[in-house]
Amino acid sequence: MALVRVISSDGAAFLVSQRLAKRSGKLKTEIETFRKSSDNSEAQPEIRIVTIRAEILRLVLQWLQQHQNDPVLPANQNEQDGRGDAEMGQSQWDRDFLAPMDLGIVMELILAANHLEVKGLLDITCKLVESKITGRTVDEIRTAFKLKSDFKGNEEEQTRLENRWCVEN
Amino acid sequence: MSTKSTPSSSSTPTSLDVANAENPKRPRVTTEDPKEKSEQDGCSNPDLDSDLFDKSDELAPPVFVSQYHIVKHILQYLGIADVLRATLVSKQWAEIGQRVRKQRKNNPYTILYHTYMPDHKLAFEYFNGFEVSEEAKQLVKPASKERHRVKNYEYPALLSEARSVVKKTFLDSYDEPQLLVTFATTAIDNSVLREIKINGERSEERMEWILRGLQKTVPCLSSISCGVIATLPNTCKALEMERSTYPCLSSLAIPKVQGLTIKMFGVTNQQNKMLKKKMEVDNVKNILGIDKKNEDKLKGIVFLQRATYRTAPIATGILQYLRANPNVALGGGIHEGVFVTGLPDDNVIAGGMLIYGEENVRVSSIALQETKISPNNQKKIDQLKSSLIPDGKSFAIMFACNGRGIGMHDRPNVEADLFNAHFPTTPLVGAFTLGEFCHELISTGSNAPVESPRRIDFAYTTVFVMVSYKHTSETQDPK
Repeated sequence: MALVRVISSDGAAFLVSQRLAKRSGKLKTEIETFRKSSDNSEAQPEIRIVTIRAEILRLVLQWLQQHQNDPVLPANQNEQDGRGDAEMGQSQWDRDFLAPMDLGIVMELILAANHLEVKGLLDITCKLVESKITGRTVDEIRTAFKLKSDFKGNEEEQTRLENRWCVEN
Repeated sequence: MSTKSTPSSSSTPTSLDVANAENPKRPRVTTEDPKEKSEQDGCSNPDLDSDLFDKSDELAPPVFVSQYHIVKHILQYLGIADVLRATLVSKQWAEIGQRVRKQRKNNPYTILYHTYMPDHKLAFEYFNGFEVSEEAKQLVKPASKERHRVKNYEYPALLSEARSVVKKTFLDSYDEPQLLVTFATTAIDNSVLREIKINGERSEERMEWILRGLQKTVPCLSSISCGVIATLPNTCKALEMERSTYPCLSSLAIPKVQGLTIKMFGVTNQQNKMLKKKMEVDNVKNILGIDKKNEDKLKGIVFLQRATYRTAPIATGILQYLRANPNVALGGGIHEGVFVTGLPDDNVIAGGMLIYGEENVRVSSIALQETKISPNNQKKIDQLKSSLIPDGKSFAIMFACNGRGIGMHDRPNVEADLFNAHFPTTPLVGAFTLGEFCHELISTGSNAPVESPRRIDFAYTTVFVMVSYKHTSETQDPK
């Protein structure tokens, strides 16, 4: 079985099958690039992911492994029809997988899934964060995501007026 | 290969695929910021709520909240009310929110309210008075020692219930509407009038008692008539309510879709009288607000007239317009009341909407004129079906003469069922009317010449206006 070494930002190496790795859009491209630039077709590719640390990388690989036999979704399916995607792909395993994570890990996982182009994982993690926005007031959302309003003057008031019915609950 | 390792366990997954072969020092914490550490420490509860909302410490926002497509990805899942709230969070979120709104593939949905919700079928069965089952009787007049009152227009909670149903459906929806078409029975209007009498509060727009505030966000076209046709939310199953004395209200939220523009119009008494003196197509265009620049995109008109005249000058005016422009579909009817957002009720003689569409929109209209579901009527339904854009979405409005329904078919719900059988996924709302308007047109996307209408006012017919559309391909994100 052809393998690939994936190395995290903090130097931990994971040896995974190329078949598995190719389910990540990013790793697939990297493996193909390696193939083209390498004379030796037997050589084992080595990919360094400088933005993802070992703990997160391991979670991504774990998720990929669990879902290795899922049909591959087109990358932009979510844009086709935004609703329902995540529920469809979310298994009990996914729920157990996400349940013990704290927000920090989930956020890192979102970034990692986005960077490695793992759509299914990006969907379920975003969905998790989304459920924290649903039904919250603007101030609650700001507190949750530690964001500050950067509207000037009456810009915010203006938008608030336009969307009165959804703000005044 | 079995990998039943508990996902949360910190043990190294061991299998052929993931071999954590070279990982001498598995770093648990490397270079995170202190925020995450503190969250990890306090994280015994798997529910993220506590982490998200109980932390008030002043820290830098998590990285992802400023990453354009990640935020966008998250917002895409949100219902429209949440998207709009998110646009108030910050400038960047506002920009992303606008884009999500623009790209959202909105679909139509319906709102239904009556006093015996959620027992739609039983209530409709009881009030349509045909072979009423014991179950339906029990619902309306339960055998109890307490005296029961049928929940008619005097039912005290009626208006507040209706308001909350309309608002809740609206706020919980994923889709963003551009216009709300509402049909209500006379009983609803009576209830509003009763409320006004009790409170002594007068409003120039009676529908405000139900739609309160909504009309400021979305224009609403409403009518009062002797019966309504309502599609049950989510299922698209259509039911006919022919009893004007039973409070029932149905709404269709026409979605914001690229290429589909709905403009509401209202015709005042003065405009109508003016037209009587001087019947000119240009005047008609002005009154309806037909936009010269986009006139070639006008594909359909829905016209609701108040039952004052049999045929108001404005109806004649529309006939004149259609003679000059026979490629525009028309459907409508005569109602007991017609209300248009922004115009005082007393001054409105008619209202309606102009349906403009690009290539991705088709508007067709048919009238079932024969009294039975004849082969001819069946053929028209088939034609209507052939006019749908393949793989598109659709919604429809029905106007049925109040003499049809049970009175004609000997059983209720015949025509709504017929529609349902052919268009099981098309939301439908409508009204039982005192006369119908129609210019039959099967739009197939070609510009084949259409015969000019000889007349547009009919009686004893059922008219369907069908709008079908296809979402256009996505506009690209910046970078």
